[in-house]
Amino acid sequence: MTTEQKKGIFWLAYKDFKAGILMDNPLLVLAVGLCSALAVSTRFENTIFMGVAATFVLVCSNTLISLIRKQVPNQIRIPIFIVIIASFVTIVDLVMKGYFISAYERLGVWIPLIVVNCIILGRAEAFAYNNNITRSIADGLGMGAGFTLVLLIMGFVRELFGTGKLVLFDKTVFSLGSAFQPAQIFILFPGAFIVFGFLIGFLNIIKERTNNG
Amino acid sequence: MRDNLRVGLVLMIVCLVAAASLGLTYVLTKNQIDKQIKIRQDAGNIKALSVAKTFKRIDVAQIKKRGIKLDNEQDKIFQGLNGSKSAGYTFIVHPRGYGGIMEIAVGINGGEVKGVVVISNAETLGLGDQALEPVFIKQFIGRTPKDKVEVKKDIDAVSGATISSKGLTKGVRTALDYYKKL
Repeated sequence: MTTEQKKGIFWLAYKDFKAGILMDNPLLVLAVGLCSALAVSTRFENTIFMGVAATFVLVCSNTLISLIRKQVPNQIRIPIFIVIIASFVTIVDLVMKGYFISAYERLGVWIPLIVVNCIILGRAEAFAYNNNITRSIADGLGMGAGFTLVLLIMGFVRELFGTGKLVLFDKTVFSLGSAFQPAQIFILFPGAFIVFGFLIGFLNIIKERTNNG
Repeated sequence: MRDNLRVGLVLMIVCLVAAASLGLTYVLTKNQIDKQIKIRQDAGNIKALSVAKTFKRIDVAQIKKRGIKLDNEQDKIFQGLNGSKSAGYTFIVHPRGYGGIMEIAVGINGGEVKGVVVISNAETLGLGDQALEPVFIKQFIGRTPKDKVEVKKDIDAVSGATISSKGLTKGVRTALDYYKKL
């Protein structure tokens, strides 16, 4: 028995969860799923819905794939992953349309496009297909939380500096005042890359600190 | 041979379960989705045509009979009523903006545009959605079917939001065209 096995399944699951947020953050370290992250983060409210939707799909697909992984023949695993992921995305799509229609319309094509988000198919293939349910759920939660966290920060910075205020559910919750001249570049794609670059930089500083200390 | 059968069987079961659960979700959410869409359209109608108290939808067959070809299948025409008197019409139209299809309500009474309300849009925050502000929308009030209602001709586009401005203008134009034939 290795030391890792001795510490038990929950310790492993906790490690998987933590890895998703920092050391293996899907956006900042693995650099997958960038397209939707850069596109929806123009508005803080969007990022909340996108983060929750992607996390839900990620956890559900990881769970189900891990559950049936021994019955799935190797040569058809990818089509099966895609059917499972697409089904969960369609469920999210319908529920959002029924209960959060304005957010749904603002996110537009990015909700159906969760199907082809590399994070979800990537975690199914690289993690859930080879690991048990507890660890797969932890991995889904961790990756989802890592994705959502980065999205929230990007949405916050971009909306605040790009428009000078934060609007949540049609209410202005915070404003920089009329003296602040909004920097439109934050709303545009270059702004997305600038904010994203700074976040990668910050994460690298944190990593260096932990490695040295 | 047995392996091939197993592969097919597994794929079939997964697809069947997926289809069944999607069907179930669709049935469970359908009413709620229709309700949401209706609530928003009703609110749009009221804001676009404030003189009318109630709205009666003109059904598709009747629209066709009057020779109107709908620009978008989802477009709707309502007759505004104040008691039993007609108080103009509202048009739910779906022009294409920059971020996708927008849904707008245009209220027309006595040959003039009375109000334009954006029901839903996916325009870029801080850029395209400037064309959805009252400053821009104000330009449509009082327009008649005879006016051009075209960007650069008699409507000034918002700089940085040209495509959204054009989309909205196109929607109002469509509504005026429908109105002409009513």
